[in-house]
Amino acid sequence: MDHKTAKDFEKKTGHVVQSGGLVKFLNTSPVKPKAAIVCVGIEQLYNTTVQLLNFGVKHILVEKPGGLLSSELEELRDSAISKNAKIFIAYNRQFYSSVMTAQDLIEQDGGVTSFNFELTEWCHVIEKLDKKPEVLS
Amino acid sequence: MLLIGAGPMAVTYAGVLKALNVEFTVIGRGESSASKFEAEVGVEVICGGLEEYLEKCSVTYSKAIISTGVNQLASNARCLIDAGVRYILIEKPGALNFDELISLNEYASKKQSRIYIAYNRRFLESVQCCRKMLKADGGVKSFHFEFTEWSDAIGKIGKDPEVLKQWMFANSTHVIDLGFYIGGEPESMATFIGQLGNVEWHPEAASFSGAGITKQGATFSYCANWDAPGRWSLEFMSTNYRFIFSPMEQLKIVKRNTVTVEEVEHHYSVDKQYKPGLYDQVNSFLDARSGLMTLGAQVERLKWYSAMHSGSQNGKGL
Repeated sequence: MDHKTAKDFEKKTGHVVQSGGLVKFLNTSPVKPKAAIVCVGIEQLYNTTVQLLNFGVKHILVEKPGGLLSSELEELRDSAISKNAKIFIAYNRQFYSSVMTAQDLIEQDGGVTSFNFELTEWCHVIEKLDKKPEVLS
Repeated sequence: MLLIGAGPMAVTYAGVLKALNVEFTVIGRGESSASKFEAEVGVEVICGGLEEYLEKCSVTYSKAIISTGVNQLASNARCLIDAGVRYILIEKPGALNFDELISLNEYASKKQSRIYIAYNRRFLESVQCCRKMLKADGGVKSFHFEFTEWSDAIGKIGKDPEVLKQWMFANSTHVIDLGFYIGGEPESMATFIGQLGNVEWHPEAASFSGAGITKQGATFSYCANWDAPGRWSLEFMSTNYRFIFSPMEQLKIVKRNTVTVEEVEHHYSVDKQYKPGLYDQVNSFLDARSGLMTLGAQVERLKWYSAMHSGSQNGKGL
């Protein structure tokens, strides 16, 4: 995390940021956390989660989609199984009040019989974002 | 010209024909519908059916509109062809089932009669407005449509079981045709069906979904669930607009970079005066016949209707 991001975080949350990255922090041999939330850029999701798994963290919530490549996701799944750890993908919309209400109503009505969804993205907006080509692809 | 049928739909055709100052002879079957027709339209109905009329008739008609029940469409068309009628506008979908339609097409071709399918929604003012805007914006890039039918209501209207069995063909093709008329003919499609046995009058399936690509490269998808709430609707996407038909008679748009649904300013004056789409459809039939679906084109469509009705190769596509 760069200095500015860390300062912004501290200002907004009142929480101290350990700067210098995860590797540096883990090298200080901190108390093993029971759980971790990985909330970094998509390119760093895999590496960060691997580091946490290797440190022995057993419960990890990782930002969607969990990795950049399907091979990364497969490795994380296999690694979590072998280390007896649980990794969850942070699809927060699953927890929208609207979604949970719909789920209750659907269950009461006998379940979903069909559905349709649209995933249009605004390409003219996205192309202006500072995203790496491998993320955009 | 001849107008075959004296039911409610024939009444709407008569209104348009009168407005266009076209002389027409109405042939009906039952006294009851004939009386209603005469009371509403003020034009005499010749009862007894088409065959009986044509046997005694010395006039050769060049044009006819067939506006009867779906069960009688093909047989009436054959009678007219035999009587030398060369231009026929037939109510959708043109016949009760695929076999009848194919057979009628062969017969009409042999006798050099031209038959057009009356998909009046092609001529809605909303549709014509959309087509102009789409053309100006570079054409359709993708589209989606829904042809949900209200199974509770349909089950109670006392339709012939044979017609109900063909309900997607007999009724839902209004939406399907409009989708492909505006969006383009399919090149490839994967189709799925579900909810088998859920609708008593149509046990084959109650939910339908699929996706494909048109010959022009537009991607499309569709859905319908006849055992759930829903309505007919279509959406077409071009570079700068999303065109929404819900209801189909009113055009709404969403402009690029926005999520606001706006009504397109249009008076819909013709569609308010007559059954929507009917005036321009009849006008087209009487004049240039552009925009009308030919019977041959409907036959070409059958493989897609069939795939949508039955599910194609477990979704492997056609």
